[in-house]
Amino acid sequence: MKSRGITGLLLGAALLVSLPLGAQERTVTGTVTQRETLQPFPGVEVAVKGTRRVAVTDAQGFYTLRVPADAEILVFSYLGYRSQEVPAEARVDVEMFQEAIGIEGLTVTALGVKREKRSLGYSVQDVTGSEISEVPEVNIVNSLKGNVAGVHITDAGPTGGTARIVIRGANSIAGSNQPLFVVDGVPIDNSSMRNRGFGGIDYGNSAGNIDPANIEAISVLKGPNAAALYGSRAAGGAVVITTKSGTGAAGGGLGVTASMSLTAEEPLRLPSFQNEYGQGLFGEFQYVDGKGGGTWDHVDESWGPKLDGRLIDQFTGPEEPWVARPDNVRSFFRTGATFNANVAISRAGERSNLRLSIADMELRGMSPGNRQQRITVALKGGASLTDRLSAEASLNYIDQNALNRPGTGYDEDNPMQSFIWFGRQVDMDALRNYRCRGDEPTPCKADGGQYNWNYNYHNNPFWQALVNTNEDQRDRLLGHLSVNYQVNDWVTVFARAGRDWYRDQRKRVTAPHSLDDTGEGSFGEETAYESETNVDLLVSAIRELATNLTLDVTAGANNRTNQFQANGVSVDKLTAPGIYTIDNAASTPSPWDLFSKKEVRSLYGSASLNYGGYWNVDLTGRNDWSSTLPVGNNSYFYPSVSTALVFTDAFRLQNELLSSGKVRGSWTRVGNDAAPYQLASVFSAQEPWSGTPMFAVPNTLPNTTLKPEETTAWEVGADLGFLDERLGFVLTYYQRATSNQILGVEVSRASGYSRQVLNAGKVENRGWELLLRATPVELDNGFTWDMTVNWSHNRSEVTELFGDLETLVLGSYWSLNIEARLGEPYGAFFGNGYLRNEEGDLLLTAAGMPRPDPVRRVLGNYNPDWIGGVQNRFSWGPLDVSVLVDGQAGGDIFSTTNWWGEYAGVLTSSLRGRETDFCDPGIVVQGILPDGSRNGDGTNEVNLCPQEFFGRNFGINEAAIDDASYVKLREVRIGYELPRAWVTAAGFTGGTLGLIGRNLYLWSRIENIDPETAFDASNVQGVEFGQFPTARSIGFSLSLRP
Amino acid sequence: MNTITSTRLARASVLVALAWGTACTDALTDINTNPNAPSDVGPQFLLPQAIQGSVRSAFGSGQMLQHTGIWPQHFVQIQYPDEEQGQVRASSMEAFWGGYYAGGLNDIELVIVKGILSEEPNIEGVGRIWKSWIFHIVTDLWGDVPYLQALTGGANTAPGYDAQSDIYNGLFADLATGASMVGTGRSDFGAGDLLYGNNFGRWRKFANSLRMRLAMRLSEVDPGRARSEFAAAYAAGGFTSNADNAFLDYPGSPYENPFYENFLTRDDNGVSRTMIDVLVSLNDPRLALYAERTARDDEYRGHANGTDDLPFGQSLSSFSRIGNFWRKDGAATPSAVMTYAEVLFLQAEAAARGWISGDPAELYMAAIEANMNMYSAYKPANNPSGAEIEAYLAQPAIAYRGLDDIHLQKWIALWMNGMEAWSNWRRTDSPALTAGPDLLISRIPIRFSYPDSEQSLNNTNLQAAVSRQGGGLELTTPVWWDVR
Repeated sequence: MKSRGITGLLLGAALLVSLPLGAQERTVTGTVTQRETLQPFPGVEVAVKGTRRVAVTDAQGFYTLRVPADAEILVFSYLGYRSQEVPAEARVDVEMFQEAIGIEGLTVTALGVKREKRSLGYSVQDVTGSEISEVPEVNIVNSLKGNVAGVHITDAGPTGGTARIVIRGANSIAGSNQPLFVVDGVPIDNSSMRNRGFGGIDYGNSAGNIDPANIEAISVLKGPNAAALYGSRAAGGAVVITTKSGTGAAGGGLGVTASMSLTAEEPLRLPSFQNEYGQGLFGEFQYVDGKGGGTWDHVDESWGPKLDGRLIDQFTGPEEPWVARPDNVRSFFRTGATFNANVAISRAGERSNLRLSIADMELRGMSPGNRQQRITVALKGGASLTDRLSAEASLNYIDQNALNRPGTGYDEDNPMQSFIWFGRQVDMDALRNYRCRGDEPTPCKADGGQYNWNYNYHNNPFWQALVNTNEDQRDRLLGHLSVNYQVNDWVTVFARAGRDWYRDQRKRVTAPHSLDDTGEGSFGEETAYESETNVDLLVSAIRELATNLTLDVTAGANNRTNQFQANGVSVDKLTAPGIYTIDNAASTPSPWDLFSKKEVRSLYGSASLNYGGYWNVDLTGRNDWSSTLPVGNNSYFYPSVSTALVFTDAFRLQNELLSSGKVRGSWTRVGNDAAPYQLASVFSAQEPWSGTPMFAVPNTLPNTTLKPEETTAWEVGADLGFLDERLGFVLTYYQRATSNQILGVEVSRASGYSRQVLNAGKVENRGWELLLRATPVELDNGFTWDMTVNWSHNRSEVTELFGDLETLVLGSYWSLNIEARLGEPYGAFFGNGYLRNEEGDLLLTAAGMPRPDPVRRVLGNYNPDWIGGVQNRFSWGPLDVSVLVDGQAGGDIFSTTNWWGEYAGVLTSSLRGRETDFCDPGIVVQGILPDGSRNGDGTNEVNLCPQEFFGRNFGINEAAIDDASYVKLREVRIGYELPRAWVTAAGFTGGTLGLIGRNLYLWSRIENIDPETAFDASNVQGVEFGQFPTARSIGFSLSLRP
Repeated sequence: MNTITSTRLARASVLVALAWGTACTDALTDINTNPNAPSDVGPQFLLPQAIQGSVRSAFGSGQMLQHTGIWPQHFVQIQYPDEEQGQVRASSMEAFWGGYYAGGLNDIELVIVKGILSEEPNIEGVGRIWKSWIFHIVTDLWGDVPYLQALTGGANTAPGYDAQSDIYNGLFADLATGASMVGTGRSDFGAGDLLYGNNFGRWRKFANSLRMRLAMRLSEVDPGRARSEFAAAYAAGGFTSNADNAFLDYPGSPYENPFYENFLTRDDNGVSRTMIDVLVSLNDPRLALYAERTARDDEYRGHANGTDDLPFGQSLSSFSRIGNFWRKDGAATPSAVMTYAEVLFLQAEAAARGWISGDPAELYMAAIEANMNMYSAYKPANNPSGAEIEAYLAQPAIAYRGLDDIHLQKWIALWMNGMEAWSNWRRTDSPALTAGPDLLISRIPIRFSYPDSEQSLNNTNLQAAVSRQGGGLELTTPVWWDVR
């Protein structure tokens, strides 16, 4: 067996350098307590400084550690707590207290390695598990909003949908710009399935599957400097999640932790709809068949008669009062509800610990019929098998299923689409009975057909939500197994294998009698398997080279395999109505399948040199061999160097004002490989022509000489604490550039191809990050006010493309391109603006209409000028109140809800010019008429009917682009520590009751929509249509501690 | 967890870890071999895609309902009349250009290469014929285009443009070569010959018929060449009955007649007033086939081309829509790539010009009759009956008087082949078409504009071609053979 040979070799090598234990030793014992609760603190690491000799406190907080006779300092550390360094006397008792920010404490860095924050030369920001689980989000990525400087998160869909996260701006033109997600040292998948601008269902991003109550802490590694050891995928940074371990009950027995929350959801913001005019055009409407048989009854716009109660034939019956239904859209939505519960039992013994938790998340969506459920079973355990050998394993099983997720984007599946193209008089309650009974006006059929207000463009929104169903189910297993062998005092060998695997099943159904249904219904279903497997082997050693000079080195190897496999089938005509099986197909089913695999093998190493405990110099290096690059180019090395100096210690600068100070700097270069199968082309299969297979020559020219992408980054920063740490700043400036990007660059189609895969292009990002923490008030009676401010500013620029190429179009909606354009920030809007003269006046047609500028131009970009969040926390006795406000300044959004909503005459803003009647007083556009005279100056009053004005404004993208600045009252929590007596009666030692709210208030420049929105998680951002309303969520939470 | 269990767990973990770490000993590069699709396929799988892709482009709703079918005033845009007013969308030009070059042309080029390499004349011949069909569309749309240097992939990603006269020379040569090759080999396309099911005799007739069409195209710019090419093609033999028609039959979902697909989703075109008025004035029985009565008042009423948005109070229901044989009942209606009737019209014109012997009046009458019968096998609801055809042909207004009668009847007969109707009108300016009142350019468009991508990716060559043609970026600049 080959593997045995390698094992032997590695272990042998480790043993060769081992020194005998036991010479000149003594024992240190003691107890660790938690300052907040005054309870024993299990699980705290106690180490002899400068060695690998470690003990862990047991359930009573007690530890025993054999130390060398000359051992001087013990280090006590626990994630999220301030580390303590204490002289190694015979008995050492220590009190630990929480501190997520500040330079003293542990944080998790790349590869899951815990490091003292004071020693880091790059930016890492921590979020504790309690911050995430106190107000649980269905998707944990959303919990980071406003909490971490430099992190920009946008929601793409309804609750349970995708959240896109980008750290320090987008650098890759065509690739993903999202960070790597890591759970317990094992990278996991964070792809978003099947969501796109023009329609589709948003199934959410995969990192959102993690249950918030299982999280101990999250470290955000901001950019390649911090994440260099993760290799190819480090360019966008990393979000490193550590899950909870078993700590047991304070008394040493079984500890039971229970938490639950229940919240109610309602739309935070719906568009402001007008209630003056009903369906129709030119002020006319009469219903006959809802598809053109009457007067404008096929139309889904609201330029019809005034809603003055006159009698008009409607879909509900002849000669009915024509009245406003101000609540017709709001009443489509129901009150949503989200229930979260997590019960964990854990036990910690002298040599082992174990935690088992079961979590249930139940979501009743605001869209009728929408339900989601997620059950998580998590098991994590660790054991010291011998004095030298310890092992840890974790296993998470996640079962997530959802029914009737609302569609997104410009698609009939999206209920908001049918409310933007709508008749304002439509009685929503009448539509609740979506099936025909036989007494309705035509074309309703008695045989279970669809009853609707319009039969030309839309399904009944309830029909769409409840009859045209979609369902999805995911089984996910992720876990790891690791072994740590302490060869001697200063050498350890560590091996870890981890895997993330899931299977998705999805099915979508279109029922008979739906719009566009041609044959008793249709359906599509698919199954996808995704997995990532990582195996790491690390050998590390720590040595005191001289007095005050310690060297910590690690060498390791990694093997990563990603595999994706999917297959599906769609059937567009059925035989028996509504039986959605392949056997029931009346047309040839269209099957498809897809497979993709890549492997990366790596060797890496790091060296960390520490002088005097206050100065650190770190070097890392990693070499990857990727399967996706050609031989000769598939091996690439990337180095990083960083340094951190705690100058207050080095130069003894602490005083009453300045309590701690660190300066840091780092430089790195990381590579990135290609997606699989870019080196050679294959023929693309077409749908068979009546059973005859057909293939087309692919449109992309492959490249057999691809090179890896290259990202170079540097950053400098300072961490300063004042007034005994009551005030602190973390300030960082960074620059990052990605070049040699792997791009599909366009070529003349006359070559027979449309694109050629190349290494080209360069994007640069630079920016500032500021983190401020303060305790403005701390009274003797226990009242404290803590404040945290996050602020960041990022500027990106596309500095190189290929050849004479001026732009690469990332995506295009309604003629507005989202581009990587030379000299512009990544994500520029390029499209049709208004035609203006040099003074900025609109140049009008003779009819008084604005005109599109024939020369398309840059109209904005989606990057905010800055983003930030302010968290205030007040605690007093059992009460604990926290308020998070966050937002962004600048950035543009292309809102076609506003564009189409005015076109269709449904928005309040479309009442302009028809205040008196359909075309009265009309709209006089200020500008210059073709004869050079000025319109609207009193003499020239060329007047437009509003229907005409808003109808023709379409085509000018600029009309739909607005400032995306906003401020949100993101989160409020009022926590109450339950009286001891109550909880002890139930067998717990502590408990908290919380009143919680999220997304409570929104202030924004733009009207009608929440500017914090996206179509999907891709790089095409800043475009909105028919956004599903953001949920305002209010409820309570209860948590009980052992 | 007791110690024994955890020790076992640890042992297992070491074993699993090491097994995972070393099991993958295969070469890294092997992993990157794409298992999803073949790296090579035979010509029988490329030809059907080359045929259906380019036919669905040239006969698709995007090209015909918005461009080549409305400019010769067969159809009309009732809503969103941008192209009616001479405003083409950059995205449409891009899609058509890319669709032909990086679509059917690249596929058929590989068929030819495979035919040459395997020395299979049937394969190479059909490839040359079909490539010529696609290329004549491309050059008739844009004039000078990349031809000789095109379709070489990475060898030339910015190919030079050829003069249209040179392209026509190439097309004539390829059609002659193709016609001489087909039927002389042994291999066929299996089920992949969507047009003729490996009937190479019909491919030969198609090549010769197409050569007649292209020869006639040069009647004004180079009559000598036109005559000699036509005579050679005629002698080699074109279509001889409706059975020879190059029809693409649609097998059903997902391949249905593109007009029917358009009807299912967006259906806002109508029949041009010009067409309705001609058919009404001639008592033409094809009226009921081509057009539907208005939904509003049960009349045949066309909408005028080249007008602005609908005036107050008018809607889609005020105008005659395209016949249900292509819309509501059109799923399996074929696309008529080239017909016997057109060949008879070409021969009538050639006879009238004295290029071939024959009676132009007789050929003209036969052409009308062939056209009225060409869909009989598909049994349209309103197909002209034998009696109706007889009565129609007997009318004095139909009697043959000269070339304008041929052009008018050919214009009617080329219904659903807007591209050819438009090209024939551009060549002859007959029938006389009146530009609409709201046209924003100086005349009805007589070419496509070059796509923006050629400006950004192949500008030097493009500019040379533009200056050679005298400013070909405008829709009003004639192509080489359009000299009237």
